[in-house]
Amino acid sequence: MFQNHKLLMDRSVFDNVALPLQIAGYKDRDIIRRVGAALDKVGLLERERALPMSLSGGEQQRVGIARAVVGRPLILLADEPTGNLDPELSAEIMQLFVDFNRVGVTVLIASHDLALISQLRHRTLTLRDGRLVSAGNGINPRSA
Amino acid sequence: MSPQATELTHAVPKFLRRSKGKARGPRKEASAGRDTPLGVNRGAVVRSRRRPFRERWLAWRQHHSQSAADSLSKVLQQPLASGMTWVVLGIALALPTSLAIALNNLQELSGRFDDPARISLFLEDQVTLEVATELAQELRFVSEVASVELVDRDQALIEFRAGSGLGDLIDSLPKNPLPHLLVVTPKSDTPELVERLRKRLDEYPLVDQLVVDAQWLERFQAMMELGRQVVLLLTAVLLAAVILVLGNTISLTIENRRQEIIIVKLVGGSDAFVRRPLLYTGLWYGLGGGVVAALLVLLATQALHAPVAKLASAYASDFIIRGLGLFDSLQLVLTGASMGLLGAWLATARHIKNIEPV
Repeated sequence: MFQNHKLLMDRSVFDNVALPLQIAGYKDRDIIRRVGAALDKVGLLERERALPMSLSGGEQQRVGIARAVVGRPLILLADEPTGNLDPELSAEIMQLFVDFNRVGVTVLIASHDLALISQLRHRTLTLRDGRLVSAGNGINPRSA
Repeated sequence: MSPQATELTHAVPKFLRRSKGKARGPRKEASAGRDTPLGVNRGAVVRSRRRPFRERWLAWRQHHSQSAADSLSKVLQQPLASGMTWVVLGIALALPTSLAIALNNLQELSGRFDDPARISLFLEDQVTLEVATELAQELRFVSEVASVELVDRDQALIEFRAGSGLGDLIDSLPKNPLPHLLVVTPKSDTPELVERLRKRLDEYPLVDQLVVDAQWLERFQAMMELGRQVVLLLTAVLLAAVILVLGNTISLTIENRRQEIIIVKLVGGSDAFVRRPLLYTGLWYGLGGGVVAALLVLLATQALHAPVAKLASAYASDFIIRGLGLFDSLQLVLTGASMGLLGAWLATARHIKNIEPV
């Protein structure tokens, strides 16, 4: 997941989400099913034929999320996923991550939106100048 | 170990099972994701487990046909630019092809000059017409000889007189300076047979002088050979030009799609995956160029057909110009296509490695 969505602007939402599956060599049938599921989860199933250009920033970010989870990852790394979204959209996106986490996906979010992060009540690792200064949950980074 | 880590063993995103409509998959499918550890791809997306070979093979073919269709539609979306590329390639391919056709037609024409190798026997001065006729008859039975033509000295003098305009000079001569002439045509043109026949004829006592009339043909053949070499050289140069033009076009395409390539690489696309649509783009350009070349050659031969036929009929010949057949045209189109593929390959080999997400 990327801060600036990195979508293919001349391909439909469906094609964008299907890309990792195509690369991995999935069957057409599986691709259609999985992409449908992923888009459904992020609430964009009706927009699957749309071009990313016609979507709002939040929607584009959600397409990015769908693309990230369509391959059923065990770990999801999100780099500033709410970087340029308003607070309401940000909360929505974060809720998605919480949902993923609930079904067993480990989610690692990099963010500077401390207020938003603290709302989630999950373990927080703090970095300063590229060094780990706090590992959350009271665990000392050097022994972790 | 953190609590998250222990959850990894049964990490099957439930949304895939819960989702509605066509998104609902069989349970078996949804649980397939638990087995192997994952390679984490740069930054964000986790690379999926390796699919079974058959499935990957089908997907590979699928991606090929999709790349082919996508790149074709992209080429067709810019009719002007693509058309220009096609015409440039077509001209570059048509030029050596037309020269080769011209050479082939000349060769064909030269084959129509009958008895290419003839041996002229100039008989001794004292030989009379009767003896010459007898000798001609005798030579017709020699195994290497196809035919013998007797040129009567008096007849020859009359013709020479009419043709040369030297009538007065000839009249002033005390007697006919021309000997009787036997023109012998060998059964075949092979140098060995002609040489053997020459030696054999040389032994006849009545023969004063013997000339093999093949020199002009040898010169002609040498010139044709030179022409062929020039065409070959030109073909090589122009094919190189075709490859370079295409390589350049594909390089520009790569530059235009830089962002797209970066994204595809980010989500785990291999170089081959990125290369595939570009190779097809090259193929389409080359194929189009080949078709244009075949059409140009066809038009040119059609345009020349009538004038050549007219010229031939003026020389009482039924020679007609021969253009490209269906098979040759197909070959031309295929040549264009393979040049396109080659050019695209060179361009992608150079550029795609260098485009990496940072």
